[in-house]
Amino acid sequence: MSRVCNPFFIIMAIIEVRDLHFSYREDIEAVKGVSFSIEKGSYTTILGHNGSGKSTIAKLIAGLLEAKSGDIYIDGQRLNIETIGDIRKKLGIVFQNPDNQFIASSVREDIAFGLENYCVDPLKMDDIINRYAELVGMKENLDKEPSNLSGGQKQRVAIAGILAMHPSIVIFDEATSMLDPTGKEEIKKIIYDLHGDDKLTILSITHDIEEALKSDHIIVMNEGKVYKTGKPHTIFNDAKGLRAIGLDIPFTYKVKEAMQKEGIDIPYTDTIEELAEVLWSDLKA
Amino acid sequence: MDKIVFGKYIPLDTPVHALDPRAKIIAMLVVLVAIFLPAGWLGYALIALAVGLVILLAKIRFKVIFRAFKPMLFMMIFLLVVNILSTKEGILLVDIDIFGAEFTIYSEAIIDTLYIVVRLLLMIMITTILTMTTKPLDLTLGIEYLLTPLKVIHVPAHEIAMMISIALRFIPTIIEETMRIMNAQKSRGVDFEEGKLKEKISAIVSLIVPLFSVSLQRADELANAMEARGYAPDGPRTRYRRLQYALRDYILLAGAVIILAVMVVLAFVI
Repeated sequence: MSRVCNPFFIIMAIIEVRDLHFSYREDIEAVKGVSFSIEKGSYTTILGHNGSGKSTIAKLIAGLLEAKSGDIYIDGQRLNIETIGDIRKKLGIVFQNPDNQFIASSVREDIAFGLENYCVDPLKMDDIINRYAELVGMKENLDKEPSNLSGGQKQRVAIAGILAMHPSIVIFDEATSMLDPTGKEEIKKIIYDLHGDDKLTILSITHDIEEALKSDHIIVMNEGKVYKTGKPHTIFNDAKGLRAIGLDIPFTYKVKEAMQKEGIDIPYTDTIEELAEVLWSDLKA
Repeated sequence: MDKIVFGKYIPLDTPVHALDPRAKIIAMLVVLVAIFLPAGWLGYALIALAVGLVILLAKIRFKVIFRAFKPMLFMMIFLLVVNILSTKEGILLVDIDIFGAEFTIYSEAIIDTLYIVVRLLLMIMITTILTMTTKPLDLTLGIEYLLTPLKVIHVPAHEIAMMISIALRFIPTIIEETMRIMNAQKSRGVDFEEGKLKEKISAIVSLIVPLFSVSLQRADELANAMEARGYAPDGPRTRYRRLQYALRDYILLAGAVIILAVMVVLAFVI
């Protein structure tokens, strides 16, 4: 039997956004006809300068804001008032300010908050809390109050609280932007592990181009519209275009750019270690 | 800010800390009612003895309890002065003329005022013991449990408890925020300590306006975080922490009821 190509076949999209419009005020549109899709199990970053509409997109996907027009599909389900309850079970969101998402008075009770909302049997809660507190390295701090935790630790608690609800998608809305360098690295490592080991679909809204470089797919936003989408390599190759909209390129790409100006061509690298290796082998040669 | 004692939980492992918050709240209310009965000095001595015993059992230093009186001092002095000067019964003890205004103090005024002092002090002590020995979350959980029967008459028990719990949770955050704004305003030349009344009002406004703005933003973000985690105030929920009465709770309740009964008897006898 001969195989026939199906023209309607598309890779399973877990998040599909179609011609989305949203405005906070009548006269200013924050999101202007945005469309994109995100594959199941992928790690996607949305890059953009302040006011580009990237955080608004995250809130629209989580159903925290209502779009003026357009559609959002999560795992095949159209987001609306009837489906929002079901969709929220599949989707967790970690916000920017770690203080403003710590609801309870201790780590243990904060992780339990989401479980209580989804009517999980209280007898099973301790097991779940311990499991996810361990996953984010907070098992030793279960009885601590928020005032005794660092920003990074609070953010880890927020992640544990979300993971405890077993979502298949986790949105990080500038989750590292208010943290110190150590906190940033801790959270980024958790994000990479969740994508690598747990195969969760990750959507990270960020300013951090180094983080975006590690993602599978990048969506660049500018003035409420999608400026460009593609693999990190494709996106960061357009240094001129990115700089024109107030963004930059990763350090390794900057080095390549500077070397090119001096007439030396080196291959693209994603990490400083790879770059050092390339430069060292060039020097040896 | 560390000197704020009223409402601050002291984590210790004592029988008083281990009591069910519902039992503590009910006992507190019963004893507060008892305090308002005119049972004379004997009655107040009995309550003071019981309160002292609870303080000892809770391993809280009396010094810490007395520190809780400090913020109330101004209000207490004001109440006492008004009471001393307004009661005109008993034997006239003092009659002074200051710049044409006559001030008199009668014996009954002194006794009444002393009663008020004792009542106020006991009330502050009892509420302070409650907050010092009960975690804020347990306290709100206790309030929620106690208000649950009132759901029948549409009292939003869970919403009230959640509001109190969030308010308590955000006290340290708001204090921190206040300090930050104060420092920012001080660096711009705003003086919160010195100056005329008009300048002081303007300094306070420069603190309150940004504080309100930041707090509203926090409230919005918190509401988003709660909603994203499936919270619906009127929706069904399970509870991670469950309260259960133990023998010590019944002993406390029995003690509170006995105090009330003795006070009622004394009020009739005296």
